[in-house]
Amino acid sequence: MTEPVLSIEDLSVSYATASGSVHALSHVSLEILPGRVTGIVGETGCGKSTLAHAIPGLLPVPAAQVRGGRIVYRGIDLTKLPRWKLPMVRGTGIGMIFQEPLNSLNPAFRIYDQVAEAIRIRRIRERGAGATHPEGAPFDYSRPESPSTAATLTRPILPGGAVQEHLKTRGLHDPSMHDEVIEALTLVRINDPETIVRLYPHELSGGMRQRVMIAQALSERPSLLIADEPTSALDVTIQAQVLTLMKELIDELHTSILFISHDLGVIAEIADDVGVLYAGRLVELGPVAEVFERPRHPYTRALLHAAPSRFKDEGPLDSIPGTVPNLARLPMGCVFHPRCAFARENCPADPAPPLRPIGTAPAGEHRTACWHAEEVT
Amino acid sequence: MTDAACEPLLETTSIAKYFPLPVSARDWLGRTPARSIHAVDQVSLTVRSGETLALIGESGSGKTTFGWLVARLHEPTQGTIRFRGQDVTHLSGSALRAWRRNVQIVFQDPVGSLDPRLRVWQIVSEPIRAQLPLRRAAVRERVAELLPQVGLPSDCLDQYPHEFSGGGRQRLSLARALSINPSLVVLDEPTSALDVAVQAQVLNRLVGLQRERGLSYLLITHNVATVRYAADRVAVLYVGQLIEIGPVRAVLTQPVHPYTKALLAAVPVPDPKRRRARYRISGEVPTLINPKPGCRFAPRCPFVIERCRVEDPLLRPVAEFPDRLVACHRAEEVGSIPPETLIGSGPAPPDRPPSN
Repeated sequence: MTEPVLSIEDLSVSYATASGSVHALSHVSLEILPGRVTGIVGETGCGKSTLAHAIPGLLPVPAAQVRGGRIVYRGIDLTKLPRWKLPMVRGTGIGMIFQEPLNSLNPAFRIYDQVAEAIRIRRIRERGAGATHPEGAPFDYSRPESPSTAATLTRPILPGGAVQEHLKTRGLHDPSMHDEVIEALTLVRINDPETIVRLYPHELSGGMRQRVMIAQALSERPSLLIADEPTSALDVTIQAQVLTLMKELIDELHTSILFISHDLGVIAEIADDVGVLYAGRLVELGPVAEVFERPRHPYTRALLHAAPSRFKDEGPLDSIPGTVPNLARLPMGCVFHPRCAFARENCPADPAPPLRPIGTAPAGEHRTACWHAEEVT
Repeated sequence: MTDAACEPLLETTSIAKYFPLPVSARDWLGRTPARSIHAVDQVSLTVRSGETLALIGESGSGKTTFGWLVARLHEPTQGTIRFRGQDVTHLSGSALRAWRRNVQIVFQDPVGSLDPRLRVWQIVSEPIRAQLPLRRAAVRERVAELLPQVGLPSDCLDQYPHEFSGGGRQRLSLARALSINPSLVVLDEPTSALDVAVQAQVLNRLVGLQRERGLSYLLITHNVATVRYAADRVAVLYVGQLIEIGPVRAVLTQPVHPYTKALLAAVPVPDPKRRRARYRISGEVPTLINPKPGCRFAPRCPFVIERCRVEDPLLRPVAEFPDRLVACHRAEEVGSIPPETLIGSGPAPPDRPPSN
């Protein structure tokens, strides 16, 4: 079995609120294998974004706290990494693409500067690690790093007239940088990069901004890319273009992706493996074809059936009765049992069911957290 | 309900809405002709009594503006709106207020369209209080009767909107629209903010209410799945123009216009087996500011010919497809090509930044 790029072991995250502690993630275990796209699907408030933010240490501490578990990336536990070392992991190691590209791009800088910034950071890192590695890409995260290197990476952008001077000193304007920026934008199929680099984010359309975001994330050559609803703000034809682009880039660059979406269709389109989150728990995990064709958790099954796929004269849609539970007051036992069509007396009585192998997929790849999974067909 | 004998409830004729752009001093001195955003351009369609007409299109296609025009929340630049045969385009004052009880609207944003300082009964009864001289107790009683019909408990009269989930707020918005028994409800993206399970609940309720009350809906959405389930007929808008209209089953299974084909092919389907190279169109939605003549889809269309770039295609019936109107010069030739066989894309236009 291949070594996973990232393994999440028994991760629990909770938020402290006025009404008590909210368990956003409970005992989530997940492995992301190299070169594969792992999709995470779930409804609003199921903990998708908490998972995406927990991995690179972007949770809003102290409100959010990792209550237990480990996130192992290249042999080190990211949850134990001191905060000043996290910038070493972000970007070059783990890249991120967010839902709303306008909020993620700096409105005060041209596209050129924003993409060049990412390349500059990669170069600094390569200088640190390149001596020991011919390709310069992998960075030795376990090595003790001096706080000053981390400070260089996170140096704030200066205000006012100092900005231009500051950018010059960062080596943003040398010709090799220019070529690399153009190359990064060409990679994401932007047709006229020479014009685009001179524009500001507000001058681009949503699809173009998302391409710039992808270019920025990929130009740091991450080994893992976390995409949190990257196409949800886009129109459907533009979404189709961006998804096609991402699929092509996966084949070209062999990056592993953690792809988070609420849209079952998007996940079916792009993911190799899929994990279904419900109320902060992973209820089903497996290869996408297996999970979508033979869902073995009642929630996954209900979610797939709720998608409107019939015409009005063909009878009402199947919906899931009830509502998503309040994460501060989760039901006893299996969190889905109050809404479940397959629930029995033991579901609320027993502790929450663990993920267990099921079905015919080899090596226990398809796993579900349901006591009565054999009956779910 | 789809048969053509149904009387038209609402009819628009070549309706248009242009939003003028501000004229700068330089434009004025240089005598630059005034520019405007052509949000809705010469759209003629009919909503029949008791049916759901879905308007589908991407952002900027003029769907919402059309909904607002129909509800008389925007003044049309040209064209006429007829309601039950009566011209309502230029109603004003008390006549307009009296007419408003016929058409109500459920706004896109369920958070922004509910006043956070009002209680449920006040929100839901706003149209009643505007139209009917009823006492407070009578109003509360009517609201309490109405809430269970949209799937809310009748004892939440004194709660505030923030106490409701997204689906609950959408139901409040719906209850408000239904409170004075309108005959047409404009539903502007009624489920786009909702999760799929909640969306199914709301759609089921909408269809149920239509059957109980004989309502007509103008359903404005970008979501093809919603249209499939909720609509009787579907109208496709592209950059402010109507490009195809027809019965829902026929349009979704056999789209004629190249844009409709592309739109339907782009919808992700939750079925990993269908994952393959599919028909994709390149480029982005063009600008709405003083659009050039010719078909607006021409720059992205894989079937484009010279005629498309110079001559506006008119909405016309296509022989092989009954009850269908399509605005495409080559409708007969491209109509029967299934989207599955169109792999790849048309001529790649340069990625131009939108001209401001």
